[in-house]
Amino acid sequence: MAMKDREANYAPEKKVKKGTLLRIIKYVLKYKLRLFFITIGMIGSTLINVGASLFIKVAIDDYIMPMLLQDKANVDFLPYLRIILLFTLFLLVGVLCAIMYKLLMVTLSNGILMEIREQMYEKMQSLPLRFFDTNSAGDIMSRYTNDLDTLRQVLSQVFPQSITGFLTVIAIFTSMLMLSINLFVVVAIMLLIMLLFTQWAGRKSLKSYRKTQSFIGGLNAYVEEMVLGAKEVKVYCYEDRNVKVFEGKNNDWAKAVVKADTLSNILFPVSNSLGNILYVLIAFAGGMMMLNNITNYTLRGNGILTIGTITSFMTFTKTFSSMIAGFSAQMPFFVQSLSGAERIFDLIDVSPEIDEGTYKLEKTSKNSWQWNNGKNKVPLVGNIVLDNVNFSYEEGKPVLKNINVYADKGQTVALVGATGAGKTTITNLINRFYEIDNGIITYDGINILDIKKKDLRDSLAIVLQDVSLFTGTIMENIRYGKLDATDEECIAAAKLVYADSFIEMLPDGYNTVIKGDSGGLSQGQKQLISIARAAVADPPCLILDEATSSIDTRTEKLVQKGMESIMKGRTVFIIAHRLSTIRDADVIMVMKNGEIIERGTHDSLLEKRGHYFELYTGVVELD
Amino acid sequence: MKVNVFKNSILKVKKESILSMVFILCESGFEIFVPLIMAKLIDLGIEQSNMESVKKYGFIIIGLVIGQAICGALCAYFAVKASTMFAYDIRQDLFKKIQLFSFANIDKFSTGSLVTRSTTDIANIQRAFQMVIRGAIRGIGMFIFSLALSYSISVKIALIFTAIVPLIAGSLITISRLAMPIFEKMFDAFDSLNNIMSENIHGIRVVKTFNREHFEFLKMKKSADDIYDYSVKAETYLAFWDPFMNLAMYAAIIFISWFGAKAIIASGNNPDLGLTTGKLMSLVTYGMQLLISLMFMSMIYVMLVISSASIERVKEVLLEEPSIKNCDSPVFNVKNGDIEFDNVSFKYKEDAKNRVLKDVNIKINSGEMIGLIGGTGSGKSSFVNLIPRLYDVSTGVLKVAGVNVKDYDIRTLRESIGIVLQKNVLFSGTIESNLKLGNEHATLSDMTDACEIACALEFIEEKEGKFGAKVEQGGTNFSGGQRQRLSIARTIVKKPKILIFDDSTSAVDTKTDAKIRDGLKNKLPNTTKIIISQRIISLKDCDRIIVMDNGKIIAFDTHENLLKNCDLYKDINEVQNS
Repeated sequence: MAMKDREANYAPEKKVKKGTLLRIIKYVLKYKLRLFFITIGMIGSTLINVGASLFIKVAIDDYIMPMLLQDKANVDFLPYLRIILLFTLFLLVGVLCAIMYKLLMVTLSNGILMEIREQMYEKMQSLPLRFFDTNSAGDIMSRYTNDLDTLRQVLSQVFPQSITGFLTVIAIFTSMLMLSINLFVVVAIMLLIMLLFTQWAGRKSLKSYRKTQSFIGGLNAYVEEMVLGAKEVKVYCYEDRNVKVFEGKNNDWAKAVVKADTLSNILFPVSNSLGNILYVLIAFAGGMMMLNNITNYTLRGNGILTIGTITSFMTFTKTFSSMIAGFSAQMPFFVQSLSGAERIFDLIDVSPEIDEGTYKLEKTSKNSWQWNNGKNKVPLVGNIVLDNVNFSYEEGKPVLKNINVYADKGQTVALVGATGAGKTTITNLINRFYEIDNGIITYDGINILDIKKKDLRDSLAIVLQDVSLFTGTIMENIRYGKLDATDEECIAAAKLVYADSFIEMLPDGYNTVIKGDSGGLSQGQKQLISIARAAVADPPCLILDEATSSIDTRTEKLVQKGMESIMKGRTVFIIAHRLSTIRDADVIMVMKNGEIIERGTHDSLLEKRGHYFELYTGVVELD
Repeated sequence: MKVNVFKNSILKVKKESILSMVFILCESGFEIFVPLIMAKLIDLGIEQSNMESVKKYGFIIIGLVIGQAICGALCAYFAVKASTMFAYDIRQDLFKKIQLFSFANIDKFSTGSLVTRSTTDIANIQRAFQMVIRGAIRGIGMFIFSLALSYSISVKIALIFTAIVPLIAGSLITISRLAMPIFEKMFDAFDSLNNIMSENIHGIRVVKTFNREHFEFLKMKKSADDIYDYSVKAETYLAFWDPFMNLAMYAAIIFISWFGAKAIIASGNNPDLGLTTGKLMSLVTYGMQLLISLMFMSMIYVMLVISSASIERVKEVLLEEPSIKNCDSPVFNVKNGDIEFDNVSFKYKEDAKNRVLKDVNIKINSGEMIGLIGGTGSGKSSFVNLIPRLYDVSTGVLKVAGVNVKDYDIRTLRESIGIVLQKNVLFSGTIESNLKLGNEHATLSDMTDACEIACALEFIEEKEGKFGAKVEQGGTNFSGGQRQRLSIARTIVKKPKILIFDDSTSAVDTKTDAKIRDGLKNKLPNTTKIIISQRIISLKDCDRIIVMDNGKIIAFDTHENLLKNCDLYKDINEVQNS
C-alpha cells in the first residue's frame, strides 16, 4: 500500500529532483500576461543598464577625443549635449522598465506563494492521519515556514536575478564580441576557471553547511529537552551540572561552525579576486594587442584596438565577474531552496484520504436520520459491526487481530486494556481515520466504505483524551461541534456536562479567550469543554476515548450523569482508564495485544476471575 | 537604565571582531585601489604606448588583488569566529539565566517561546552580528575610500557625489521606514498563521471528527490573505529601491560625462594639468562603488531592523529578574521536616483576581505521612509547590523546620525537599543518569535502595544493562507506571527531609501503589511525606489527610474521623466505593 510508505519524509542527503524547478516554473507560467510585461521590462532595463556602462566609451571615443582636437577656446559642446540628453531619455525609459517589472514581480511572487500556501493547507486538511503519524508537527510546520520562505527568496530574488543575469550575460557577451573577439577568448578561459572553482567550492560549502545543520539540530534538541524539563531541573537542583553539559555541546557546535562557515565565506572574496585578475589580464592583453598592432577581430569587422574599446571591455569584464561572484555566493543557497521546494511539493503530492462512499446522511425529521445513496434508503439506527477486522500500522506488525464487535443501537460498548492493547485503534477504524487491512465494518448494514466520509464522521462524535482546543473564546470552542449552534444551545450543552459551573466562575465567562497552552484552565476543565463540544454536535453515535481521565472522580460522577442523558438511545463506545466509570456498560471488551480476550458485563467478567478481574482488583498495572 | 546585556559577550570577542574589521577594511582598501592603479595603467601605459608601465601597474594590481583575497579570507575567518563565539556566549548566558528562573518566570515566557529564543533568535542575532562586523564595515570602508579617492582626482566631480549621497541615503531610509511597519504587521500575520497551523496539526483528529476541514481552511485563508496584502504592500515600496539606485547611478554618469568632458577639454587630457580620460573612467567606477556601498549599507540596515525583533526577545529573557532569589544571609541547614502554613494565600499572577489558595493554616510534624485529596482545581498542586519555593506565597508565612522558607538558601531548601511532579519528565540518557539527577554522588546501593522503595527495581532488573539501560527523550520507552516509579526513585535518592508526591502513582497498579506506600512508611520513618491522590484507597493509611476544596483546607484529620465528619470526603468515598 503506497500510503504506508513514509511518503513525505525528507532526507537531507537526497538529490534534488529535476522536476522541482520545472514545477516552480509552471506556477510562474500561469501569470502569462504579467510574465510578458515582466520579460519586456527586464529586457528593457537590462539592455539599458549595459548601454549605460557603454556610454562612457562612446563619450570618450566619439565626442571628447574629437573635441580635444578642436580649438580650445571654441569647443562646440552642442552635439555632446544633445547626445547626453538623448542618453538621459534612454536611461529614464530603463528606470521605468525596471519599476514596471519589479512591481509586477511583487504581485506575481506573492500570488504564487499564496497559492502554494493555500494549496498546501487545503491539501493537508484532506490527508490521512497516517501522514500526521509519520511526520512530526515540527517537520510539517517547517514546510510552511522555512521551506516557503526559501521559496519566497527564490521567486522574489534568485528567479528574477537569474533572468536578468542571463539576459545581461547575453548582452555583455554580444557587446564583447562586437568589441573584440581576441579579448573575449581571454574572458572565456577565465570564466571556465571561475566556474570550476565555484562549483567545487559550492559543493564543499553545501556539505559543510549540512554538517553544521546537524550540530545545531543536536544543540537545539538539548535546549528543548531542558527547557521542557525546566521544572524537573529546578526540583532536583540540577542547574549547575546542566550548564556544564550544555557548555560542552555549545562548544562542539561553535568549533564545527567556525570550520564550516569559514569555508563558505571565503568563496565570495576569492571569486571576487579572480574577477579582478581577469580585469588585469584584459588590460595586459589589450595593451599588448594595441602596442603590437595585432589585428582585432570583432563581429563588426577587423581593425585595431582603441583605448576606448579596451576600457569599455574592461567595464564589461567588471560587471560580468561581479555577477559571477554574486552567483557563486548564491549557489549553495539556491540548491538549498530547491530542496525546500521539493519538500513543499512532496506534501502537495501525498495522496488524500480515499472517499468513494455514495451513501449520504439525511435528516428526515427532528431526530431521525437516514442513509441515502440515491437508490437505497436506510434509516439510521446506529448498529455498528466489526467483522473479523485486522489492522496494522506497518505491514507485518498487526495491531488488531480478528476483531469482532457488535454494537447495537443504544448500547454502550466499553473497551478495556493496557496501553497499546489497541482500544483507541478500534475507534479510529470506525470513523475511518485509518483503513482496515481486511475484514469488514458495517454501519446499519452498510459497509462504511460505501458511506461518504463526511457523513460518516458527522454521525460519530469523538471525545479524545488529548484535548485540542483552538484559539478563541470558550463559546467558539463549544460551537466547533456545530457551527450554526446558538449561544443558548452551547450553554445548554455545557450545562448538560457540568462545565457550566466552572465557566460561569471565570471572570469573562463564556467569552474567556483560550490561547495556546496558557489558558489558565486545568486539564480537567479543558476536557469538560471538549465534552460540551461533542454534546452540542448531538451525533447519533459517540466515542469517548479516556474522555474524563483528567477530571476528579467526583466531578466525573456528575459529568457521567450528564453524559448518560446524551448516551441515551445512542450507540456509545467508551474507553476508560478508571474501571469504575465503565461498569454500567452493556458489554465490556477486554483487550490484550490487539485481541479481544474477554467479553461480557461487569458482573459476568468479575465472576470469570480472568484478566478483567485482575485489572479491576489492581493486580495488574493498566498503563 | 537598561544595561547593555550583550556588552560582555561583545567584549569577549573583541580581538576577533577588531581583526575582522581591520581585514575587511584592508580588503576594501585593496579593492578600491585597483581602479586607481587601473587609471594609471591606462594613462601612463596604454595611452603612452608604454608596455613597461602596463606591466608595472599590472603587477601592482595583481599584487593588490592577491592581497585582497588574503584579507578577505582572513576577515571571513575572524568574522565567522567572532560571530560564532558571540552566539555561543549569548546562548550560554541565556541558558544559565533560564536555569535561574523560577516556575513563575518560566510560566511567563512559556516553554515554547524559551526554546525559540534560545535557537532561532540567537541564530538571527549571530547573522546580524556578522553582518555588522563584516558587511557594514566593508560598506563604510568602501564608501569612505571611494569618496576620498574621488576627491583626490577631482574635487568638482566628487562634490557631485557628495550632493547625491544624502539624497540617496535619505530616500533609501525613507523607503525602509515606510516598509518596516508593514513588514512588522506581516510578521504578526505570520505568527497568527503559524498558531492556526500548529493548532490544526495538533488537533487534526478533532478537525476530522467534526468535518471542519473547510472551516479550518477559511480560518487559515484569512491569515494567508493578510500576509499577501502586507507583503505586496511592503514589497511595493522595496520595488522602487533598485530602480531608484539605478536612477542615481545614471544621474551620476550623466553629470560626470558632462562636467568630466569639460574638465578634460580644459586640461587638454594632460594628467599634469587636470582630468584625463583615464581618470574619468576611475571616477565612474568610484561613483558606482559609492552607490553600491550605500545600497549595501541600507540593505544591512533593513536586515538589522528585522533582526532587532530577535535581539529584543533575547534581551527580554536576559533582563528578566528571577522572581525567586536568595535572601541576604541565607540559612544553610534544614533541621527537620516540620511544615507550617501560617495564613498563606497564593495567586499565580499578582494582578489575578482569584486566589488559588485562601488563608491556609496548617501544621505538619516531621516524619508524618500526610494525604491530600480534593477536586480538580482545588489547589492541591499549588499547596505543595509552595513548600520548596517553586512559587512564593502571596501573603502569609510558610515555615519549614520553624524557619521561613524565604530565609533558606534556595538550593539547601530544595535539596532537602523531594517533590515528584504531576507531569514528570525523564531525560534522555540512562536510568542511572536519571537517578543521579537527584543526587550526583549517589552510590549503587543508594540507587538500589531507592528503587526498591519505589518498586522500580523489578523492571530495572529485567532491562538490558540494568541501571545502564537507555532512556529516550521524555522517557518514551517506558510505560507511564514505570516512568512514575522511576521519578519516585529519583526523588528518594535525594534523601530529602520532606517527600511530596503530586498524584505520582496514578498510573501504577493498586498493589504496587500499596507496596510503595508501605516502603515509604517503614523505610523512611523520619521523612515527612505528603501524598496527593485522587484515590481514597491510596490515602487511608496516612497519619492524617488534608481535604481541599476551592483553595481552602476544609478538613485535616484521620481517615476514620473524616468519614464521620467531612461531607465532601464522604462523598468522594461513596463515589469511589459504589
